[in-house]
Amino acid sequence: MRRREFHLLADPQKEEAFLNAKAREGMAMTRFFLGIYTFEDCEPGAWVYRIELLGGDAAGQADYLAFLRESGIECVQRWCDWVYLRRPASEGAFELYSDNASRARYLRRLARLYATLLALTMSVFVLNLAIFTLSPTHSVENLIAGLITLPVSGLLLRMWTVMRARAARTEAAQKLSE
Amino acid sequence: MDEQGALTEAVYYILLSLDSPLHGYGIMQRAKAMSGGRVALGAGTLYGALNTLCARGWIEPAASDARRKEYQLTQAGRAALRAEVRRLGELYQNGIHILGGKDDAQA
Repeated sequence: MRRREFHLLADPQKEEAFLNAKAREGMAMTRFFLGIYTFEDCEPGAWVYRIELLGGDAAGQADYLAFLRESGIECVQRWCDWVYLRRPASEGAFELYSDNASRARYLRRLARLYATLLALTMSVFVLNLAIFTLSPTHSVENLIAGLITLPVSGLLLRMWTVMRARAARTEAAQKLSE
Repeated sequence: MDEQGALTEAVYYILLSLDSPLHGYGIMQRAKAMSGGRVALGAGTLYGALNTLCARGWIEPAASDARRKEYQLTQAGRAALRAEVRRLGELYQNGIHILGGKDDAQA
């Protein structure tokens, strides 16, 4: 049976936990589109899901996805640089990063993405506010457009902070084991 | 010969696995088997390490018509691995020398 659920999850780690909890209940995610998750029936606990932000250029990403496929990892859904991956639970624990050094590098990459997006939304805010203030018509549209970006910026700021904290914790753990 | 620090556990087992040509999934399986199931290399970690090791010249893509991309040790890689085994041997000998052969955790 196919079921759809709507969720807005900003933190990929919590999203992974959500998908894995669903898989344990016998619902395997097969599609994601604008907050709508599509699930299909599976044996309870048949799959382990991971979400990853791809790095590098298009050729590197294609090479990496081919590598994952050859390693028995299925790419269920891709949106730009985000991929939803899964592997049969029978293959054992499924982690993409198995040591602190590589995990920390990945978390720094995530943090950079949120920082870039935050800079973008803040620019949109400042630009709209400037147009609203400086233009003779004081168009309300610009004020509204500017204000709409604020909660988005707040969310991005929070995610940036969370990712930097996770990366710092992982780097500290790595220093102990070097 | 460039300066070589301690190899990470992942790099050590990747290099050991590539004594004969092998593809990514094979490396994961061989590392796991050698370590008695303890070392489970993540695909992301392995992919990054393979690229770094290729760039460093310690491994290279194996010339084969295999469907999956295979890698193998280079001479430099083998030398680095030997140097690491010597270093680990020293660490191990000193540990045994001071603590003795007994394992406190199991005693």
